[in-house]
This record gives sequence, C-alpha cells and structure tokens, in this order.
Amino acid sequence: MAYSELIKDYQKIRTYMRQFYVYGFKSREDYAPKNRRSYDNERRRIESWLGDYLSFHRNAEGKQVFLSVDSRAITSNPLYKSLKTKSFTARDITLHFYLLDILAGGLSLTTTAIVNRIYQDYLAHFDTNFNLDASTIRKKLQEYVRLGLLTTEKSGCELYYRLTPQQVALSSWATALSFYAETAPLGVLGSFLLDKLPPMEQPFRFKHHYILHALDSEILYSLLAALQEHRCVQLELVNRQQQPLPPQEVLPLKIYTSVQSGRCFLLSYSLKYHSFRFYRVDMLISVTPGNIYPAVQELEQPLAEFQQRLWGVSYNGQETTEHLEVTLHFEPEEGYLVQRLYREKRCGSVQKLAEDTYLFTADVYDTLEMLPWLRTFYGRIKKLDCTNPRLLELYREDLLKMLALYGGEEDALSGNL
Amino acid sequence: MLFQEIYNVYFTTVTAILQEAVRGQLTQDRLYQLVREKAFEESVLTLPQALQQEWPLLRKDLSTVIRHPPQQPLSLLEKRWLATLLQDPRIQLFSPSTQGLEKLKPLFDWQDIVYYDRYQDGDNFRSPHYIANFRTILQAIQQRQELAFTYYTKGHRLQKLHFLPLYLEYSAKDDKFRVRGSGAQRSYILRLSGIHSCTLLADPPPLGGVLEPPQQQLAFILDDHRNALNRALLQFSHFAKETTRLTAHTYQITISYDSEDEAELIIRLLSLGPLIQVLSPDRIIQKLKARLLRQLAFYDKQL
Repeated sequence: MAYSELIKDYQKIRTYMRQFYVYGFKSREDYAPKNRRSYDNERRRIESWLGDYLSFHRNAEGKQVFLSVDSRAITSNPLYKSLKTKSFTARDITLHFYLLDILAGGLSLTTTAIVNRIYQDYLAHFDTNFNLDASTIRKKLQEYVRLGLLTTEKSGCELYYRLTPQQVALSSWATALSFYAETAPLGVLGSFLLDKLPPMEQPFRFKHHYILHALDSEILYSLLAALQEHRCVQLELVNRQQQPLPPQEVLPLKIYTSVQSGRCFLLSYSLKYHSFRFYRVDMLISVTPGNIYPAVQELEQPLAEFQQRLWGVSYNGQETTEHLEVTLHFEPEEGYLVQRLYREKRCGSVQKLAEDTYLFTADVYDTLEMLPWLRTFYGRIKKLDCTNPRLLELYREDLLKMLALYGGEEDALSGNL
Repeated sequence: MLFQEIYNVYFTTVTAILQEAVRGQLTQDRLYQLVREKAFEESVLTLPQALQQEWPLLRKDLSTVIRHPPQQPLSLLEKRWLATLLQDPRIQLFSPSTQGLEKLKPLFDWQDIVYYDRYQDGDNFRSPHYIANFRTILQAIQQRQELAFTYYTKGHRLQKLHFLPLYLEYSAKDDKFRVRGSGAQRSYILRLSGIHSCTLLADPPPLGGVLEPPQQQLAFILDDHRNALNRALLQFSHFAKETTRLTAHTYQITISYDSEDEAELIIRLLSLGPLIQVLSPDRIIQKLKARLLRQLAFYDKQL
C-alpha cells in the first residue's frame, strides 16, 4: 500500500510517538527488527508532522530519532498535530464541502434534493466519472447529524437537513482557548477550535507542562464519556513491555492526573474483583462501552473513604492503613520550607511543635509511595517513624547509597544503622 | 470519537484554499503557500495534486464550484467542551460569551478530575482584585504596553517597578500564574498573587532589554531498575533533553533548564534518590552532598 502521511488507526503511531518523546535513545533495530518498513513509514510521518521538534543522533547502535521539546518555550502542544491526521476518501472531503455549500444560508433540503443539487450544480462542471451515489450521501448526512454539524426536521414524510445554527461567538473565546487548549483535559478540542480562528499571538506559556497526555486523548474521551453516563467499560490494556494483558471490566470513577510526573490514571471499580483499581491511561489500548452500572450511589461513600487514604495512586489491597510520622527541623531563614510542607501535605496533617520544629503525620494505604517526597526533605528530617518497617529500611538504604554516590561519609552512617 | 476526519489538517487547509478560490483570488503560488503554512511538511507532495485532479472542488483555472466561502462549523463535541470550560473557576479570568452553550451538557465534571499532587496554595482565581490585575496584564501583553506595578515581595515588602509584560506563565503544579516581562536593564517575573496594583502606561515601551533567563545543562546517569527509566524520563519529559544508552541498563540523560529553577530541580533530583547520579554541574552535586551530610548529622544526634 502506498505511503500516506495520513493514518486510519491511531494506536500504532501513538506507541511510536511516546517512544520517540519519552525515551529517544532507541534505534531502528530496537523498534521493529522484523518490520523495518513499518518503522520507516511511522518515522517519516512523525517527521512530516513534527519536523521542527525531531532530532537525530548516530552512534554504534545506529541512528536514533527523538522528539525534544522544551515545553516552557512553546505556546501550543505540537503533539496535537497527530490527532489531525485521520485519513479520508475523496468522497469524504468532496461531500464535506458540497454539503456545507448547498446548505449555506439556512436552507433545509431533503436527501433527494441534495443529491440532485450535487449532480446538477457541482459534478456537472467536471469531466469526471467521480461517483457519489445516494446511499453514500445519505450516510454522510446522518454522520454529520451525529457530529452536530447538521440538524434534521421532519415535514410530513420527508426528512429535511440543514446546517446547525452557529450561535457560539467563537472569537470571544480566542484567549481562553489558548489557555485551556494546553491546560484542560481533552485540550486537543481547544486546538481544533483554534484552527477555526485567525492566527493570534499567544499570551501564555506553561511551566511543568506535560504534553504527552495529548496522545491519550481518545482513550480519555471514552473514559470520561462512560463516567458521565455511569457506564461500565471493557479495558484492553498492555503491560510495561507492551504485551497484552487480560481485558478488564470496570466502572470508571475518577481520572487521577499527576502534575509532577506526567502520568494519568483511571480510578475504577472492578466488576470482577469488587474493589477499587487504578490503571495507567497510557497503557490502555481501547475502551469499549458496556452497560449502565445500576448502583453507583452505593459506591459513593466507600469511594470517598478510599480516596481519603490515598497518598497518590497506590493501594496495598488491604483495608488497613499505614501510619507515618516525620519530625522536621527548619532553620529560621527556611520559612519557605514550612510553606512547602503545608502546600504539599495532601491528606496528611502538619503540627507546629516548636519555633523550628514541625510534625507531619499521615495515614495512607501505602507509605512506600511517599518515599520520593520524603527524600526531598533530606537534611531536615529529625525523626522518622512508620508502621511499615520497609519504608524505614528503604529510607536509610537510599540515604546510604546517595552518600556513596556523592562522596559522603557512608561508613559512619552504616555503622550507626 | 475525537480522531475524526473533520478535524484533519487537510480539511482546515482546503477550507482556507476554497475561501480564496470563492473570492477569485487563488493562484498556483498561493495554493502552495497555504498548504505549506497550514498543513504538514510533506503535504505539498500530495494535497495540491489531489485538490486539482482527484477531488472535484477546483477547476483547472483554480476557480471553484463552491459558491459560499466555506466555514468550519463547530461540532457538538467542541461545543460541549466549551460548555465544560464554563464550569471551571478560571474561566472568570476570560469571561467569554456563553451564547449558544446554555443548554449543552458538559463533556465531563471537573470533580471527576483529581490533580492529586498539585500544591494546595494555588492562586485565588475568584478574587475580583486578581481578575482585574490578570485582565490588565493580558491587555498590556496584547497591546504591547508597559505596566507600572506595585508588588509585594516574598518578604511582604511593597515594591514599585515598571516593565513591558511579555507573557503570562501558568504552572499546573503550582496552580499559579506569573507574569514575565522585560525592562530596559533586566527581565522580570512576578507572581500574580503578589501584585497589589498594575496600571497601563501611555509611554511606548523601551527597545531591547533582557528576555529569557539563561539556560543551564544538567547531566546524570540513570540505573534502570524498578522502572526508573520510564519514571525519570517521563518526569523530565517537559525539558528539552537527550538520552544515550551506555550499557544494557544504564543511561546518560542531559537536560536543559532555566537557571532560576535550580532549587526546584534539586528537589526533583532528591526525589529520585539513588536511581540517578548527577554528573554535572558541580554546583548541584555540592548542594546535594550538603543536604545528605546534613541528614547524616541528624542521625548522629539521634543516636
């Protein structure tokens, strides 16, 4: 099949783009040892869409392609371009412009009248055997009704089509769109809307901006649609090695988004295990809608209690929580660290013990998930207690290892521990 | 479905081309120019040819059978997304028209999106004072006008300054806006929540000035176990970066960062613990070492 820069199925390119962007060190051999042409085509497409952001380097392993974006320096997410590449037929694009033109000015017409106009007013001007049968036109009209571009009204036995009145004052949204396209869930819709407006200078930049979520837009849309309707879904998913895992039947409940790690998770209720489960959205391949869940209200209270005991997205599978206490010492000039403690405490609580000493406590399902955060207070932790002894072990081991890495006095510490 | 042909770049590009053709202004050069501007790099190889030979939209003389300048109507999905934005408190900063969206069901409920590691002291987007300052700054950016500020420093001292605002920077982690701008001698960055007042100045802004903070490079080695590679690379994915594989399980990663973000970067490096080893700059290595030795001293006191 001839190469095209447009695609029918998004999943394959989604995987490649993630690999180019997140990893960026893999060569052609790593990606597709058995199907080099497939790799070449996907790389060529990404290069065509995102040429300005694609870089290469070459070493003994071969040529490596990577996407490098300083997200603080850009005003719009370049990965949105990948969602503007859906392939179409000559009939699709021709009908699109014919239908909008025929119905412009508020006309209401039947399918028969539209078919006649297409042949008389448009195709008659071309010496071509371009074929648009009535069935194709009818299907396109119905599709555009579903998309909200057209509306129908019945008069007698006849169904009339007309353009949906465009009442939205889109130009009044221009500045808001340039903000929300980058910050709101399903921001790609904002990018689609900005495509309808004249280009403008963007007044916003974004810090801590994880652009990779763009690749999961379709999955997120399906999850949010199910969530709105309290509809169960079947998840098709893969593991870290991209190997398929057994499908899961769940009720989507919340979307958990990390603004510090770039990851996004689905919090769901498992119909098989009758418990709350998290799934990484980037590891979901497809979301198939199922039946409406009949007893959502019964889950509200358990869900609220479950959420209160989470530090992030880790759940130990037990009903019980682990208790953690950290005593922190700050110097008088380190008031900003006290502020840090208060703004980063999440479900934990902070108590002032003395002018320079604070106590942080938390009861969560999995204290091990707090370890990365605790390490950020190295140099200030006076005392650490936890009902999970593994946390204390790891905390000390990590300190030992880091002292070894950076030339500290690890021997003295290991003697004390 | 989001992945729909009506949002395809080709549809947007052909809309622009037909708008000019309807007005009788389309030329061969202009057609190619529009494709280069609006479509993808390789689209010039296929789109003009398809438009002139395969899709019965343009005649050979580049006139068109289309009679009305084509518009791009909003889909129901797009409108429902706009209706969703109206539920967000930050929308008050912009106050767009709600016309045509009143009866639409939002696409999702903001309560269903949990930003679980977002800082809890975000800006007060509902404050009339904050909204007024935000809009004045936005106006100054769009009209390229200087602003006079009175500003509370972190030490709660009131400071007067004036500069040309260049852009508003939003951090999803902090849930805060800052304004970055340029004066005659230096660049400025102010927290919006710290601005007491801001007023548009009539005088034209000074030419030149310092714009961006200098970029620094950080290099570190990463040992890939416990899925560390994926975690670290994803966490640092918003920086311009380069990754090189050294052995089967070790990688060297170089990232570029703003010098003003160094304190925050050190916190993030500490969070990754012994899975990474910073190679350069030495300044950061010394700061990490100092923090670790200080932690060691706490152990000594405890025992």
